[in-house]
Amino acid sequence: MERDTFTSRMLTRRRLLAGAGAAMAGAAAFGAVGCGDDDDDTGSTPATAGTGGATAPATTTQAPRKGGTLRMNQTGDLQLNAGYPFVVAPPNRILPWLVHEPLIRYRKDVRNPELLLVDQFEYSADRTKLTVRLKPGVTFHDGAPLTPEDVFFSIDFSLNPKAYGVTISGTPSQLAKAIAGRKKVDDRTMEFTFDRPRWDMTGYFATLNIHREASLPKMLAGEALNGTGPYMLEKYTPGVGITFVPNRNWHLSAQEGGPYLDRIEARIFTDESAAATAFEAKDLDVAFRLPGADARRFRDRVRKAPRIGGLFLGMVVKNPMLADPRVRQAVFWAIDRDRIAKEVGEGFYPATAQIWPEYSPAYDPELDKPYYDPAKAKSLLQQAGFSQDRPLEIPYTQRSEASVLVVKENLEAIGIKTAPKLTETAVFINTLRQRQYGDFYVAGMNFADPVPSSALLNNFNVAIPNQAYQESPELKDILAKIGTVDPLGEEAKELYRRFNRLWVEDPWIAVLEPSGALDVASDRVQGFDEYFIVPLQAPNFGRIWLKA
Amino acid sequence: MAVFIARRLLASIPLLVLATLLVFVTLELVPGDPAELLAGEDATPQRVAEIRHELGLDRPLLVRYGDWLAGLLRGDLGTSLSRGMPVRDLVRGALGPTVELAVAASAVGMAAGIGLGTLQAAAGGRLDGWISAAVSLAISVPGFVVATVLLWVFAIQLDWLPASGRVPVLSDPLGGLRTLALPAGTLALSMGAVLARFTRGSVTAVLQQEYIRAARARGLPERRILVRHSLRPALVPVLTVAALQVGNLLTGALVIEQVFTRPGIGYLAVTAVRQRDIPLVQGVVVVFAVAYVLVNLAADLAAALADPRLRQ
Repeated sequence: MERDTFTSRMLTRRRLLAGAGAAMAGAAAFGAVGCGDDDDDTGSTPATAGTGGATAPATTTQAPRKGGTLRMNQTGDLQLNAGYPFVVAPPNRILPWLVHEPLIRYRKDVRNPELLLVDQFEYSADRTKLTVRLKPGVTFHDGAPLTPEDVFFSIDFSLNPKAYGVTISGTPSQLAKAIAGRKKVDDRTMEFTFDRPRWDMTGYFATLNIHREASLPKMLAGEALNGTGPYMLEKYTPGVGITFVPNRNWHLSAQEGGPYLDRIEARIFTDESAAATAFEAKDLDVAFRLPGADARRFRDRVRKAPRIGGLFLGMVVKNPMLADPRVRQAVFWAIDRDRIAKEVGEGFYPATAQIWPEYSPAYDPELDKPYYDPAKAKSLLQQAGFSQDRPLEIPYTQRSEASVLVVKENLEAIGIKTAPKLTETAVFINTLRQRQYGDFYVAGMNFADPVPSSALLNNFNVAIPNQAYQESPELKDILAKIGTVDPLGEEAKELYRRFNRLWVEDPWIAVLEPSGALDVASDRVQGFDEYFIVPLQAPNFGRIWLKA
Repeated sequence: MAVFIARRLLASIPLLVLATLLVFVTLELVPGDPAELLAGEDATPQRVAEIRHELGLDRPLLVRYGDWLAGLLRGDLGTSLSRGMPVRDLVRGALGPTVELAVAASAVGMAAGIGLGTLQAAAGGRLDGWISAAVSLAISVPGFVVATVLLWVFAIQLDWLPASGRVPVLSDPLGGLRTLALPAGTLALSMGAVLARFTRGSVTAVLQQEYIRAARARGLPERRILVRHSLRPALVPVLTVAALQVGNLLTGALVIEQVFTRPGIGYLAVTAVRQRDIPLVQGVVVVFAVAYVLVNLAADLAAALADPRLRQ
């Protein structure tokens, strides 16, 4: 058997990581299924050089101390009946940060997933078979040992939630359907066979939180959660908050050191600005996911999570006014991304025209520039003989408003009249899904999947059909090939290069700002210095401790 | 009196039905539905249709409303679409924080408003002018502005009071009062100001009555005239206004509970509307409607006790 190209490099990295600090639980379901509220994760908060490491103020060099209660915010009420733990809607993301874990996870380097609940994760040479062996001695919070049956149940649940009486948000996982067969070899070892050679299953297993079937009814009722992660649910009070206590039997304790905290109190806030005020009033030790305007007040306390995608202006290619690529190029060059980054994003993340995060194999440093040249944009527009018989509509949701106003100004400066149209979120999503927008639209996009082909093929903004009606032969060719090649190989690199060129030469999406996440932590909070890529933008809670 | 109460309670039933039906229809007319929000932007129209079917949203409006009403009669408010929990439990959990808030704000607002209004009417002159100016200011400044200022001063600058959250008063009186102080103070300010204005007008009018002049002519002490002979008749119209103000407190709680992140009914209502969680919105509407009915009934009873002519 050939070791996974990801996994083979993993061991060296794990040695380097040994003793480096604590690890974190869970996995977010990006890429696996659609999230309940993408706005939240790919919204207007702009982003920077995300490498997986938090951009953090210097922390103390004291040895970590056990004890203390960490007070933090939780965005909205948990949604435990909508497909969690394989669908991780934004209100639930705290759970894979603390409670649930997948078989593997990604730290900074997406080429090297870290073995989390397994000690073997090997593909066959032809990529049609995967052998997985569970680590010995891993137990759930209720003391039950982790078994292959739990992995099988988690896959079954992700594939057919209806069978378990669950109405999920989003679409059931398509990748789970690739598993054509499975076999329990012994109490720890499983073999999976796939429908065809597969390069995209590593990402699937990295987002598959492992859950026990016996614990499902209590989870759906919001009474108990049973995972393998560093913290255990103590109490959930709907509308009020969630408390967690440490899992003293955490399988990574010896290696990583944590969990250090005696207790975590996550208070439910539905409004980020209220969380910012509570942080300012010292009611909270950490406030997660603040808008730039609020984070600005605590600039020296901000931790920046790696960016995962961005906000973009979609251009409907079938619209005769936008059909000429030069018109769309003009739009691309007309947007003042520097201004958006500074005025809307408060300068936390630099301007970029790129959707790929820095850790992605498809990342192109050349696209990490503002690409702002109004003179060139005007010239392109003239060459195309652009004319319009009406203002072009720009539907958008509340979160994008500030960026849209800049876009309107930028486009009018080169002679394109626009009509921004604030739209209610559910209506916007519905219209977008039905591909009914005819001019422009402003939406968010998550490109965080460690395997670029999964990000492209599963993304409704890019896959064919897409909302922009972009179906050029070049895009078709790229999408047809990209799922069949090694995501780290030379062939894939060439496809990424061709795709990124389309971004400039035949654009249907113009990136406005990257989306990251801004968290703030008080002086008491130590060890908050790492974010995982998978689970999605998760802080490493295994390392976090409190000063006395 | 029992007949009076029974008649008022019976009259409130159509009001409840109308209010809930109105909300049901309004939510139906607003574009977008919970299935679309749940499905996310990547879901296919087929998947949205499936979710709609699973949630029972594809049934006719009146059928759904009828089922909901039948459930209400059995004490079942349905299941929250966004949380998958019984609405009854969610509403029950949120009632405590709002009741505490309403009671505290009403007590402070009524005491301050009636007290200040009476003082204005009795004292007159420059004091009356100063209090009137303060009352006008308190009425004209929106609650969320007052809340923000109070937060900035007492929670952030002085660090005396918490900016958010709720501690149950019965389990921890001191902690509870600390979390109550700012939201209750915010709501009490506008209620007190309105009541002060009405009380002043009402007491001033009573003080000009013939029988008050006669009492003064008989040499009764001014304090006795004010407290025993003026306040009781003056408070009859004030009680009606106070009842309306308590109703307004519930509306005010929608905003104030958001600002202070107090997990009450107002907070729950805003979250439910955002998520198009129709059963939860309906549950909250029932609570609001019942609260309005009860508060108005209480005001009518108080007024009837104060003025027996009103019982007819």
